[in-house]
Amino acid sequence: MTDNRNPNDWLNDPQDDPNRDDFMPDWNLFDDDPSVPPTRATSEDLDLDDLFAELSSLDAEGRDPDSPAVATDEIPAWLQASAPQEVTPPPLTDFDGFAALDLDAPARSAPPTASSSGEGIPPWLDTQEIAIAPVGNKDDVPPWLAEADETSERVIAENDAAAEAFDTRGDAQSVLPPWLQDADDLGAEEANAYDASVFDALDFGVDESSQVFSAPAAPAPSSALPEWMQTQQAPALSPEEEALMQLLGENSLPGESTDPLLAELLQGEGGAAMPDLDLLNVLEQVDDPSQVRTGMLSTPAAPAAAEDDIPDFEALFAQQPTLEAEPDPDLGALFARDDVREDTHDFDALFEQQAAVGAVPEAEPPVDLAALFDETRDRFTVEPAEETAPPPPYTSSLISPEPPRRTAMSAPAPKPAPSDDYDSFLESLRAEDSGVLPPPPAEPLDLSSLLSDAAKAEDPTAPRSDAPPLPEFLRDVSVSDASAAALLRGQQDVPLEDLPEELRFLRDELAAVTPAAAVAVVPALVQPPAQSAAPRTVVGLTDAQRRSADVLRGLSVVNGLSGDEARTRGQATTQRRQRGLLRLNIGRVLVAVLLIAAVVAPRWVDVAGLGLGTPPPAAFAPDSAGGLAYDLIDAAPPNTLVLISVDYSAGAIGELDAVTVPLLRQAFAQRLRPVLIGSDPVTLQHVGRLADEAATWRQRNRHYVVGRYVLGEAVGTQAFIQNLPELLRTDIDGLPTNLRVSGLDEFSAIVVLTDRSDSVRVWAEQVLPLTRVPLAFGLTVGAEPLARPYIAGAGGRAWVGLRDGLTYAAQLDDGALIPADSALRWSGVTLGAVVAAILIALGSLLGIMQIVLRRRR
Amino acid sequence: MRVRLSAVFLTALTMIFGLLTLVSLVVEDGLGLLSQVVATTPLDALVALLLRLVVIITAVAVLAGVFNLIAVHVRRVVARRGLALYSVVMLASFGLVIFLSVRRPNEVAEARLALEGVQIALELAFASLVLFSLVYGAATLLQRRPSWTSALFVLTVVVMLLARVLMTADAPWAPLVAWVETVPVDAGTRAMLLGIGLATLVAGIRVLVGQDRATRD
Repeated sequence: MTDNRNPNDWLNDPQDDPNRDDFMPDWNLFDDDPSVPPTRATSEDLDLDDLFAELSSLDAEGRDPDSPAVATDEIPAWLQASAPQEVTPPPLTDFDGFAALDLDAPARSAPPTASSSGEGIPPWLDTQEIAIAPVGNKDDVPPWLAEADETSERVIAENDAAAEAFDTRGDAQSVLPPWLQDADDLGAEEANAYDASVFDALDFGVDESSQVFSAPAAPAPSSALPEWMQTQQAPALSPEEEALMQLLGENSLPGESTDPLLAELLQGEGGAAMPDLDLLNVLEQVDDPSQVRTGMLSTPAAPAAAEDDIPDFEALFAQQPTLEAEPDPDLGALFARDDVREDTHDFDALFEQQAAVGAVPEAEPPVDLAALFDETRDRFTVEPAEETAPPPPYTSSLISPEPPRRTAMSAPAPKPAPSDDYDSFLESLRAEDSGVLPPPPAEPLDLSSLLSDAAKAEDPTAPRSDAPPLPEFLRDVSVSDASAAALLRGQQDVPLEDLPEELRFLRDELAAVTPAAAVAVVPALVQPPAQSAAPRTVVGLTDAQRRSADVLRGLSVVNGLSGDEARTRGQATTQRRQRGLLRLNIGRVLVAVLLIAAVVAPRWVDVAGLGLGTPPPAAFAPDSAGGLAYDLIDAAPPNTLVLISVDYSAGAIGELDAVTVPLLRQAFAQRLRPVLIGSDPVTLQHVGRLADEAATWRQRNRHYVVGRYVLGEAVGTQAFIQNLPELLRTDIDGLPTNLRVSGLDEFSAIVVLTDRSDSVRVWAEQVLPLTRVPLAFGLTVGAEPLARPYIAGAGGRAWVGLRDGLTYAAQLDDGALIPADSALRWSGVTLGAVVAAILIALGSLLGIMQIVLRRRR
Repeated sequence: MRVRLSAVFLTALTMIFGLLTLVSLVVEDGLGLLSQVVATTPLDALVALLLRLVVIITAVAVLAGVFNLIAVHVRRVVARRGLALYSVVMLASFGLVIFLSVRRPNEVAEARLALEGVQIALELAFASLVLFSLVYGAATLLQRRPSWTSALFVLTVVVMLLARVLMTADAPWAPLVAWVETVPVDAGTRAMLLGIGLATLVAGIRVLVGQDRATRD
């Protein structure tokens, strides 16, 4: 409840744990004045030492001077070498009363152990199936696990001290260790008084948020218990537990409570059979911890110790770290292991491996008195009459101690049973300490972050081992956060000599496995020692490059060439290849030759008899696009201006000149005054020459005008329209045109000759909305599809390609057939197109055959 | 956020003149106050002046490009003696055309020779090379990229090419060719044009609101 403790601190040395005091119970165990309600003790008010001091004072006061002494030569099991044992997991209940007491808070953050079902528990947490490392072989146990064991042993010792208050003698001797059995002789009255003083403060209905306990020290009836306690399913009892129950029942006061043990505990006035506490004397006389542990299990009886022999618990527990002095946790060594991959983080396997290091299969596991006490007391407290299940065995673990147990007074909230995975179980542990522990992280708690947090919580002043410390950036190695490569990238400012060994290993491995990544990382990582401040780049080769280099070396050796000779020969080969680029491609040559032959063949060969198509018509159809355009020029009034924009490039001259020439001829025939402008200066000059030829006797800048070069696409066209008088004042040579034009409406027609659909779009968008003058277009076949929508919007007047040009010329001549030269030209184009189509078809068939043959192979 | 004063000024200038041009081009009669403002103010003359300035600046840019081209080839000739044959030929042609045009401005025979005999002939040759490349590429398309789309493309090219030159108006497959030219081709063309129009509209709006990269950066 008041534990401001990180649940991951179980990896730390409890002696160096700054939160050690937080494990102390929250209530004041020793309230001398019963009239004063018990108040919650802070961590400063009460700690374990105070508890033991109070226990010592009880004995010093001589409340039971005749109590038998405890055995002194019996060694507690927790100091003795343990051994694995195949036992059945005890059916633990969800209610953990001892954990609620919060007496063993230091071990609360220890990894969870077996659940009631024993399923879904990580192997390293399942204490029943893990071989226990003996104390004498602790060199094989990693230090961090040894510390965890120290924590568990401390918990056991603390629980033992409290368990003695409930222990009995007689029938329970087969269950309890001898030294504890003998402790029953210390005196029941004093022990009962102590127990009463302890459990008077019990209040199962206490509000965790309150600072003062309000409930009196009275036995809580079962109906008054919280619901989670009432519905608790009592586990089955072993024969030993049944004997203990029977013993406890005999010592209780009948009729006062349905729970005899609870009645005894809460009243504190039970019979004389309540166990006396003289664990202090026992532990004080222990010299060899291993003997203590061994005797705890095997020695049936022990002589009594002096009754006034008050133990010094502080000294006793201070011995534990020295007895099991081990290096500190070496997580860095874990990461540096060869079998550890950066992408796995299989800490379960790691813990299993660590646990199996000192495993002794034949050893006998020690009895976990804390678990025994908890389970026994819980059963008596909740529903002792319904226990039918087989008795649970007692387990203990050096590696993974039992999860912390608290009494119901300190933790009324039900603790969820260990779930399917340890992450959720650890989350449940955190949830128990809600309001006290720091808020849970945003991301789900995983073991990786758990370990990293534990590493962060280490006390820097604690004595460290020789193992390199865990790097700061490796303390959070959760896979979801960053990859190992990202971690390495984060160390770009760390010199190589400052890198830990495991990072150097990772770097070497990375360079061996993924050279490309190593090259990307190494330049930043590798820093020269001190001589040079410039970074040194290590160039790495990929596997493919290495293989290629090996092949080349092998070839050089086979050919008997040295390195220089091979290099020279390679250069010569490169030069030959460069010269080979000039070699002709047979396919390309064949295609070019066939096309040229097809185009020029009609000049020498009569191809008309081949029946390849039909020549263009001698006149446009009345409603065709060419016919509409022809009618536009034909209907233009004489002596009016016709604006002709020459926007095609020189590459389209061969196609569009067939339209331009008939257009000029028709305009001159209609006594129109063509005004030529253009966006291509070369073509404009060329069309000017065509106009000169078509004009015959007409003069430039009098009967026709070759105007200025209009650049700028849409902006240029718009500027031309906006500034038409100024821009038409001079021609392409800078000579005056003598035109008096104020606007587009003074033209009788506008004709745009272009090989780009964009020009059609510009004129249709920029000019057509601003004038009532009809537009006509002369296009190449390639530009016609994209220009068709604009042509349709502009009246649908257009000449397209060579075919319409030939028709246009024939219609101007009023001939029934196109001229012979035009027919010959068209025959060449037709034959060339047919040959091109045949070549394309043959090439495609050849490709398909290659595909089929390739698949058959 | 760092704000450059020059960028802010440029953006504001672009927005102002862009809006003025838009109003001058769009607003016509019948729009009430806007029409009166456009009619009573010299907005049209201002916009015409701006457009002329744009054309002049563009022409200056072309001239600057010509000088840059000359400078590059001069540097190549000076720096790589004996290895800049093409640069020497280019500079010699440029000087010859300029000389002929200046010496006899009214006699354009030599200039026409350079234009018709060299420039246009070369461009026509390049255009014919495009024909060879296209045919060869189409013939080897299935060999280099065998797929159903390639096969469909090749089939379409062959059919349409033959139809264009061999088909007559009364041919049995003339309706099919006409349908291909009108329906699929028109549909694709209009889709492309719609995309161009939308892109032009967005680009214009970005300029008017000062978000165009040319004025923003």
